[in-house]
Amino acid sequence: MIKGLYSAFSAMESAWRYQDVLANNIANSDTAGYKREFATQQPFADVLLSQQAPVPAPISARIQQVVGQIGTGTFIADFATDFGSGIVRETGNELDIASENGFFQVEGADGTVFATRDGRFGRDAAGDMVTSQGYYVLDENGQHINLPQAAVSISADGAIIDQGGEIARLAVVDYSPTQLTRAGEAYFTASGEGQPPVGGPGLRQGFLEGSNSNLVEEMTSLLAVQRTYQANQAVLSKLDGTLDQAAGELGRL
Amino acid sequence: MPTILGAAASGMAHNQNKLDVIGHNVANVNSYAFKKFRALHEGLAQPQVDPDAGRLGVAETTRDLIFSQAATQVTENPLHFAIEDDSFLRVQDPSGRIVYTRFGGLEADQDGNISAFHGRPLEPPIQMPPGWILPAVDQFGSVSAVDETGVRQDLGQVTLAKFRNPQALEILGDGMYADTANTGEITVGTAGVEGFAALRPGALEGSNVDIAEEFTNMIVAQRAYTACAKTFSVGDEMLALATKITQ
Repeated sequence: MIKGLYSAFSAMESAWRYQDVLANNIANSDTAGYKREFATQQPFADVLLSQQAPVPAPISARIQQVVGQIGTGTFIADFATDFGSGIVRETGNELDIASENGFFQVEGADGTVFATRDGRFGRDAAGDMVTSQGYYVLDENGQHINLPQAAVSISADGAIIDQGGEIARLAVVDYSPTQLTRAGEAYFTASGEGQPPVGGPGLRQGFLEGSNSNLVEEMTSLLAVQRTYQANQAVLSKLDGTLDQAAGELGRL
Repeated sequence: MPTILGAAASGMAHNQNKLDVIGHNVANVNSYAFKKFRALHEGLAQPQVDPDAGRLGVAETTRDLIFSQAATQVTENPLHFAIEDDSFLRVQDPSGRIVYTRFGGLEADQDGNISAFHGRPLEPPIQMPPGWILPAVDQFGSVSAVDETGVRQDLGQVTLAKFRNPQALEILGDGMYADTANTGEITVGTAGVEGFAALRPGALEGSNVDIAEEFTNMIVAQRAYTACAKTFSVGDEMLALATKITQ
């Protein structure tokens, strides 16, 4: 019975953690380059159920006898990121770029390099190509990119071209999912070197990749998890009532 | 506060902001030279994010000014012109500071001042001597008028400016913008020379708001708001259940 209490509690606990992830996915259904998270649930390792030998038995016989196994509920094993593409929409803005394969490289204020699929770029006061937060967009040599005042065109392979020819080439790097760690909603930090994307970056100028979280899917999961939570709460509540009887009413007899 | 409530509230706030922006854009679908906004959620980078620190949704809504060229509308007014590249007309605000606008509808008052929208003087100011008539602007921004003897004479030329980063312009209302530390180098020039496109006289630039696009965004934002509100109430119900484990 006590084990049942913990099973129900662990299911409720993992439901909460799952809801947090789902709520975040829902809140970010409009975040450019957002990659949704999902949780993988696992049962706790089974524990052995044992029986004490009857009291008159000699001490040596009082070792526990295993009579079977029992599970003690579930927990969230891991949060994983779904790296599927978000919806790519045409925006017509000069420096909105959607990448088909691979991640842009941007340099944060403290020099940290992030990988991102958020392709909303612009110019800063000095004409450098920056993200909407002012992070520098890097070229294939890891350098900042200085843009001319006039509009530029960006080819599918990342070349930035003005009237005078190619100015720079955007760094677009592909990673295996295990190399990337989440650093915020649309940014990742990479461990180890990435590879050039197979089949080229496939950049599209004037397009923007949205969020890959799908409201319908997330809401469905949210409601399902809510019911799981509710059911386990009911179980916990019942067990509590049973314990109450055991402790309170049995003693009164 | 549990993360689910924080994330849902942040999503609601963002979609509210987005609907505000859409409302502003739609209200200005017929405003000459209006430039629309785009509201997007910004996924902030956190270098040392702790996977268990909680997920609080998104930090902020960014508003980007979209300076795409709008369709030109012919007005046949000789003092109107449309700017057909990414430059801005230089005018003065009431305190004499130079501000910038895309709106090329000049007007002449009874004192002969040729001014921009709401009587703002041009930079440099252009004035028509008393008795002269029929002021007009040409494709190079030269303002001319007919003197008493019936000869058309030049009065001056409007000047234009370009910015390295027009996104950073400060919005003053009335279609006026002011430069900031982030707008970068300002290139001043006149229409038709040195990288400045010629003006289109007798016309005004329309609004770059696309009603179909705004309505699509509105539907999406409204539904996303509903989803976030529902998420919030699910979180609330779960909290209520947690308190009811034991009576």
